[in-house]
Order: sequence, then C-alpha cells, then structure tokens
Amino acid sequence: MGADMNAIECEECRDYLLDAEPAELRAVLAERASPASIGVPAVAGEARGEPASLAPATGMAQAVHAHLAACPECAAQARAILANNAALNAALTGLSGTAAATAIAGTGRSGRRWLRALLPLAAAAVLAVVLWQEAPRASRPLPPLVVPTVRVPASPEVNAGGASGVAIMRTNNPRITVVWTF
Amino acid sequence: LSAAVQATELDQLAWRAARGDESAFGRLVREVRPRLYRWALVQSGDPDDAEDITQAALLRLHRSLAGFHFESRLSTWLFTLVRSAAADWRRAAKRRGLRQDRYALSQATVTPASEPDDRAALLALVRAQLAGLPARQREVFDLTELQGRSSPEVAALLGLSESTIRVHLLRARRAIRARVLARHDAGLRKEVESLELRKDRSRR
Repeated sequence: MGADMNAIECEECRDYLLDAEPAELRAVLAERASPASIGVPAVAGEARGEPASLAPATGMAQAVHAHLAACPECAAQARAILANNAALNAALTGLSGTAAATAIAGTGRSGRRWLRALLPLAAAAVLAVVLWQEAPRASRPLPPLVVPTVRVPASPEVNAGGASGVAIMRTNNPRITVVWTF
Repeated sequence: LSAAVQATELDQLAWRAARGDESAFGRLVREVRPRLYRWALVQSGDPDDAEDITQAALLRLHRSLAGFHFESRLSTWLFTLVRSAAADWRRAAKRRGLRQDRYALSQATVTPASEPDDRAALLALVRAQLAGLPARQREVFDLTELQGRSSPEVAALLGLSESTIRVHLLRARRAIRARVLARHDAGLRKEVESLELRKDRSRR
C-alpha cells in the first residue's frame, strides 16, 4: 500500500477513518471524483444540513485529506465505509417499508404467528368448556346452534357499548377495516 | 416518513386525531408506522418482534394521544412509545426465557423458509452489521450516522447528554467500520491473489 504518502502513513489514516464524520469522508472523496462515479450515495450529512464539502479543519484532517488524495487504497477504504452506511440505511428503510405495506394489507407474518400461538389455547379452552358442560348433562340433548348473521354495511357503524371509545381505520384493502375499542 | 407528509403536517394530523378525527388517526398511523418499525427493528433485531413492538407502540399512541399536549416534539414522544414498548417486550421475553437480543445470534442465523429472499438478505445485512453492539449504540448509530440527525436532537430523543451520545456513536462507528475495513482488506487480498494467479498462468 502507499506507505510513504505525505505526512502520515496508511495505518494512521486508517485509524482516522474509523472515527471520521461521514460528511468529512464524502468531502474528501468528492474532490477525487463525483459522488455518482464513486458509487457512494449521500445519506446522513445532507439531511442535517451539513455542507457538501468540508475544508479540513485540523492538522490531522489536512494530513488525511492529502493522504487520501494521493493513496488510492486508503481512498477505497473511505469509499467502502460510506458505501456500507448507505447499504445499511437502505436495508433498514427497505425492511421498514415492506413491513408497513404488509401490515396495512393485513397479511403480516406476526399476526399469523400470534394466531398460531393462540389457536391451540383457544381449542383447549373450548374443549375444557365442552367437557365440563357435558359431564353432568350427558343425556340431555344439545340446544340448536344459532349462528347470528352479520351484515357489514359499506360504511361500518360500531356501537361501542360499555367501551369508552372506538377507532375505525380503513386500509388499502376494501375488505379489511380495522376497528379498535379502548 | 414519506416526503408528502412533513413534520408540521404530521403534528396537525396528530392534533386532529387527538380530538377524535378517526381518518386523521388512520393516516397518522400509516405515516409513522415505517419509522416506528425501523426503531423497533433496531431495538430487537427480529422482524416479528419488531412487528409486535410496533403494534404495542401504536396501541399506546392511540390510548394516550389525547393526553399529548404538543409541548415536546411528536417524534420524540413517538420514540419514547417505541422504547417503552421495547422495554416491556424485553421483560416479557426474559420472563418466557426467550433470547432477548437477536443481534447476539451468529450471522449464520437460519431465516424462516417463508421469508422472501430479498427481505432475508436485507435482514442478514442488518444483523451482520449491527451484531455485537449494545442496543443503545445501535440506536445512536442509526439515528445519527444513518438517519442524519444531529447529536443535540438525538440527545433530546434518548434523554441523554450530548457527550454520552458522542461516546456511543464513536464506539459503534469504530466497531462497524473496523469490520467493514477488515472485509474490504480481505476482498482486496483475494483480488491481488487472483491477479497474481492469472499472471502466473499467462507466464506459463
């Protein structure tokens, strides 16, 4: 590697890179090439209004600045750091976006997971109730099962009854409306 | 947050929702959900757990929005809801004897078969990058380094001093970057070796 570059060695430069502000790295790299050509999308700095180009303030920063301009290996390391930040940010954003979309569509894995966990409990509870009722009145015929029919109007109306309040949220799916009672 | 809804507009939505406007509440939930999920994911490291934490935070939002007086920033308050939901989730996980921190798992974590490939790849990337970092360092790194929030803003959000934020950020930054550079160097070595191999072959 370019060990005898300017005032500092690659090792010192590398140590500085571990702590440098992303905007500082971008500023140095921007002087070597345009952001598009080095494949490093700007992420954090611009969002908080940092200037796109920072002049190195300290002696060490100036030395690193000069070293990066002359040493392609260290410049590649700086680019790797920025590219990694961009990839991690994109991954977190991507995961959050898909999770929100699935949740709004009402097909979240989590919901199914809760359902899977609750189903055996619900089945056990129903069985326990049936067995408990069956025991003393085994000979008695069961009453006819009445299944109430519910008609859902186009615009749902919810009677909260004793509950203190209700929130109705429409989703993108016209067949799914979320009703919260609280 | 989508570009269509800026912070002030979000405040207005929250204000209307707090006064019983259901459509405003629905829109508020849609707008803040990705942000809450991201925070929850950084806290838990697992998409399903993040989903549960997000749901719990949204329920808290619904229950307590009427009591929010807009004296602090809405985003600060939302972050508090997620953190307290995440703390409850950690306590419940501990009670059930479950592993609390998915980031502690190795990179070879088996992803459920139902997980789509691209989502699994993104999750593997996130886990690999944030593995081994304490939750507080992960939070600070995400908020500051990736989302571009200023140190004073993050300090207010997390209820910590700016110097503490700075310490967490530097530690997380060093840990993550050291791994990146090690990987980068290994890739470079491989490249050099394959170049030398090609040279040898062409000489023969």
